[in-house]
Amino acid sequence: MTGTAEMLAEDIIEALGGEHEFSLQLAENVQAEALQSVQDLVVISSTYGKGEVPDPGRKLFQALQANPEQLAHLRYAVISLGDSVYHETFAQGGKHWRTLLQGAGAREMHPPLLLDASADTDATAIAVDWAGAWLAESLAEPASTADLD
Amino acid sequence: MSVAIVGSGPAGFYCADMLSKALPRQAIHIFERLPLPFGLVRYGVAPDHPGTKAVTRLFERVMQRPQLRFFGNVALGRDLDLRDLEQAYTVVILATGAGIGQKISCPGVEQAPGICGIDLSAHFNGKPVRPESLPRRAQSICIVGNGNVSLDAARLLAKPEAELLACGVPQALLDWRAGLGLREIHVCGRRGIADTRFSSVELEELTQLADFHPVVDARDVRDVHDQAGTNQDAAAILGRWAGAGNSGRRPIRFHFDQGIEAWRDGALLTRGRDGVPQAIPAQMIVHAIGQRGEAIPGVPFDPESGRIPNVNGLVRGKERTFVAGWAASVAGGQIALSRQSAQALLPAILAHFPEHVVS
Repeated sequence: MTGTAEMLAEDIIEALGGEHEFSLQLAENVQAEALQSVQDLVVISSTYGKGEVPDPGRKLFQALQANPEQLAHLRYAVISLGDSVYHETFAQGGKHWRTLLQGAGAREMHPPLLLDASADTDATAIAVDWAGAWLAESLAEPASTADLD
Repeated sequence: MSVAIVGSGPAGFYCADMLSKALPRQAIHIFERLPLPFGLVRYGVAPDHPGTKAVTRLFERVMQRPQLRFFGNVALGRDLDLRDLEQAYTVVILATGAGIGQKISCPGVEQAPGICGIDLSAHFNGKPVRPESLPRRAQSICIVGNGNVSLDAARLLAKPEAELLACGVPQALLDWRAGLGLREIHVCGRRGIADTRFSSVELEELTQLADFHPVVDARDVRDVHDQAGTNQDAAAILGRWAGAGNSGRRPIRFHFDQGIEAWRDGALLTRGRDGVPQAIPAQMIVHAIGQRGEAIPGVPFDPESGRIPNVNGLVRGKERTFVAGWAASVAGGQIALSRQSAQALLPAILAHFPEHVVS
């Protein structure tokens, strides 16, 4: 939406890249079927309007809501971006993704990260730390089934 | 081969971001008429909404790229001619925004001490102002406008000093505010209660003020359910405030469906849709009825719309000069729209760089 989620994704990949292969996709460019070949998914979602999934991700979100079995095989973690000025709906964009993934039977590999745009903190540093922990946990338990993408 | 971008607000920076990724070896130069970058993200977003300003981290990231240069305090039309830019650069992008606040026009308004809402926000954000140019005493201020800029103005006039200081509001502005002797704030507009452009979160913020509380006349909500208004969320919140008791805090009083007729003797004279006249006390007016672009010497301009005339972003009469963001289309809407505006321009701009390969 404003590019913050994409920027964080790039920062995480730059920090952790090295030996591991990451694929950065903008939600607006992803077809639901493409997730079939993915094992480990990190969703970085901002929040829009009244706590909703932002426009660029909405089509994908709705397609997956209609066919949640496409998500069952996934191992996932979520970063949710919000602004604490919006008390009631703070960082709810990511919550919707977690509810969707949980309901589909996917496995959450790491607790979600909530980032507050109004906090005077270094979002990149926090996200990279979190992602490091997520990665360590995911590697400790290699996905047992098909090839990793 | 290179790109010149005039204006360093979101539209300018999103263009710079996308172009620098697509053309990593081209010089991309940003010209900004103010000394500091980021346009309305710096000066228009209220200082107590820091989360909305967080997008500047991305813009700062863009500025670090070696191909980028930023020239502040350089004004197109004054220091630079558009023709010079067009000769020196392959492509010129005008991202000059719509930063001029519109003022209400009615008999007497020229005599009314006043300020535009976006200028109020700008000064609270640190844009230099000579305090003596601001209205001095105002027991009652009327904000005219039915959008979030009005709510920003109300909050900046109402919020406790300590909270605003913590957001970086300059002490000089807070001293000016303290000297007003302000007892009441009015928010007045021509729209009905269910047609206002207030967003719910910004309305709710008015209930969290220590020294002021929002007030709505019960008569204004009487038949809101019959109205097919476009903003039922706002109507619901405003409706809840109707007839609420006096909390001892100073009022921020809303007036709906008001046509403004004149300003006289420290009062804004209005008439409701029902024909009933009102005199809203107003020693000062805050104009928050919209914004337009400014005519820049040497740049095509449509005075009626306040925009730079264009077809899909290509400035009319030009081959390599584009316009992005609010300078091109209707002002209003979120920062994300500026990003979309920049994205939509990309293909036409990149067509001027033949070595660019579209993957």
